[in-house]
Amino acid sequence: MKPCKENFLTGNRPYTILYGLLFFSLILLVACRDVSKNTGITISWTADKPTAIHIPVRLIPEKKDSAIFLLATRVEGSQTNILGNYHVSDVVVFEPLIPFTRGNTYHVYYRDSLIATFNIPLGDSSNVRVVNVYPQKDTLPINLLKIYLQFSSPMRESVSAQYIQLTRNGTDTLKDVFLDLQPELWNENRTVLTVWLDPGRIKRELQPNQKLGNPLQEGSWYELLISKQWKNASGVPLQADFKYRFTVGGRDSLSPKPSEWRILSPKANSKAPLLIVLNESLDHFLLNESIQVANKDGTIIKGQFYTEKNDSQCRFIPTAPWLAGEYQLLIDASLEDLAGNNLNRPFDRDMKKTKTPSTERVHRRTFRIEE
Amino acid sequence: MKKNHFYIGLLLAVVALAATRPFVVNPYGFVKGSPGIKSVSALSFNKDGILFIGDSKTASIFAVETKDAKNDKAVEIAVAGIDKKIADALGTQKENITITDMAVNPVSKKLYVAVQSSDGTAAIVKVDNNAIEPLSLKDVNFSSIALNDVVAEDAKDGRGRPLRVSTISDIGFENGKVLVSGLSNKEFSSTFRSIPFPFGDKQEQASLEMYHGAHGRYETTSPIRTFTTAKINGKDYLVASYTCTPLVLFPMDELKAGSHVKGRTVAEMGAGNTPIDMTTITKGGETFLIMGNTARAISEVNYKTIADFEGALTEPVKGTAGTAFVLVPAFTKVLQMDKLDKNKVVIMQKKENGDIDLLTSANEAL
Repeated sequence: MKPCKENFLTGNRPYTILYGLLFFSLILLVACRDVSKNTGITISWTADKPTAIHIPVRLIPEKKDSAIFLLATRVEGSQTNILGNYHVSDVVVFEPLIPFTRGNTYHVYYRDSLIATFNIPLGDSSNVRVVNVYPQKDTLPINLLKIYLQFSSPMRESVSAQYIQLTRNGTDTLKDVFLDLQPELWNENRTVLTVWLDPGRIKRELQPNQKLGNPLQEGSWYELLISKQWKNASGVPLQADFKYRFTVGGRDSLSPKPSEWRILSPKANSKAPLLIVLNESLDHFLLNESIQVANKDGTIIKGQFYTEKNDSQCRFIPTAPWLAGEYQLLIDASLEDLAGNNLNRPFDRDMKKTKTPSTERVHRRTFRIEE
Repeated sequence: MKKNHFYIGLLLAVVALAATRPFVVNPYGFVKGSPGIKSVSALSFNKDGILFIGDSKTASIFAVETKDAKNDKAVEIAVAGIDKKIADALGTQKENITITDMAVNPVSKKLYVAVQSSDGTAAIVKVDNNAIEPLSLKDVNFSSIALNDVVAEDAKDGRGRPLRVSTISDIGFENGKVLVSGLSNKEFSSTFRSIPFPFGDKQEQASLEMYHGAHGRYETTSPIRTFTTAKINGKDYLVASYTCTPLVLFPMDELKAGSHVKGRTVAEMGAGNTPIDMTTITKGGETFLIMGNTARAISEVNYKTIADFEGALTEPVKGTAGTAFVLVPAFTKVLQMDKLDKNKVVIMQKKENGDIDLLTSANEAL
């Protein structure tokens, strides 16, 4: 690729560009650190990513306009020029197509002669850890569908299969248990990864289910291991291995039934919590966003939801005190239990045995607040 | 007479005005600028060389003008160690990148490869036998559309429900529409959208289910992992590979907004294996579905076999094995595929030593 064409060494530039670039470089310099070996190269960071380097003009042997075309940056040991743009202000700015990699050493060449070397430092090594794994119960259904891994900082993508392991009864390391998905299912800031147990092995009478069997077996105990070798996006590994042990119980083939939930309502004129007992653990992240409280007219009541008891219970505290009268719970039909059964349909519906699924998008339960 | 002069003058004025403007003014409604793409999960082209980019992080589809020059003769692509070469060009190591998709621009026959860096950034590069070039996404002509979030539209509590589509698993272009399949990081559900291009306000979302199990006993919803489209017995079908079962057919004309469509499993590829990319090719006057698999060689199905196997679409499948397919043993661990032109397919393949190569195969050799 060609760098943008400007006469930086003769100073023959439009003033608008000059001032723009000076302003740009001033802003960048605030965030720059000199990391080169006394060569004066500085790295500029955007959102904690090394997105550019500044090369002092004095490092460039020839003072001519075309000098910028003769620069190249390469990762140590490589003969390939890194793709990106070279801009000019009072320094030369190189912006690679993707940010530089933490821990790497790079070389800057002019006409194939090395003029500078710089390193990208590793990130802050404190406190990179697994915060939680969901579900958190000791006993899980044999047709458990998904596990959420929550980390303290954004992690490296597309490598989870190398660092997640499941062992059975303390001996066998299980193969082909998790679904190999690319791209992986991360939340937006890459702190929560969703891992699915292979649904083809869970669904009844599919070939993977028939030949390999269910991924989990009733009565066995399992240990999920997340290796400390896994690095975060800044190249820092987890502080320690994370282990989560659970045993496996029976099959859950039934949809959650809001009609059977117990609703314990507080008295009026208080901000006491409304308690909803769900009778089983439901999906942690869906539960946190699937239930709303509304008054009789359907106006949503503002307040805070909390999940507790391994996501088998939730608590709603209103912002304003309760008024006496009738209320309703609005429950999104997509709410699932741990086996992927949602309110409308089981994960895998046996048409001979179960009734036609509901198509309601929102399920409702009414309750009263008394004086 | 004077009146005639007036009309002739008017006509000349109109012609002169028309001559100062291009005949086609921005037919796609593009604007020039930087699209702000945050991730590249899937790529596809239409026949005019417009690149469609599925961006999971912004839950949007971008259409980008590539301005590639027309080229009728496709050069066969063969690059050993393409992952290392791309990593070098990006200033990193191959362990730090994942190739998420690739697509050939049918106008220029250039190969576009989408790359995700482990630090979370994405890039698109153009690859040929000699060079890797970046696709600049600054000051390009583009348009975009946010994927409708039907569930969130119902949320009126301002709790800011996250978008239901967390990952775009595949995109395609057929009959003037961008087709998008998505996966949620929470629900085990199926979203499939069809969005007319040029983008307007309209997009249709169908809810897809399938029969599975012997005698169509179980019905289920599940996310689509990859898909292609095909004509079978003169009718357009969506051919989808799911996360749980490989090959399901849906009639395209039934995939309408709010519709609830049941497809049928027509083939299973065996335990521990799933197709990860699919395309439709023609050879010897017949059309074939070819699939790259996670644990097997490329498998190939003659669409005629699927048609013969079919029966009535609403009938449950008899037996789980379904349609017969042929394995092409030379092509194991195929990661990506696309048609290079009407006679050739470009393939990305993982070798035994872990390297990733690009190679080209004639349709006849598949």
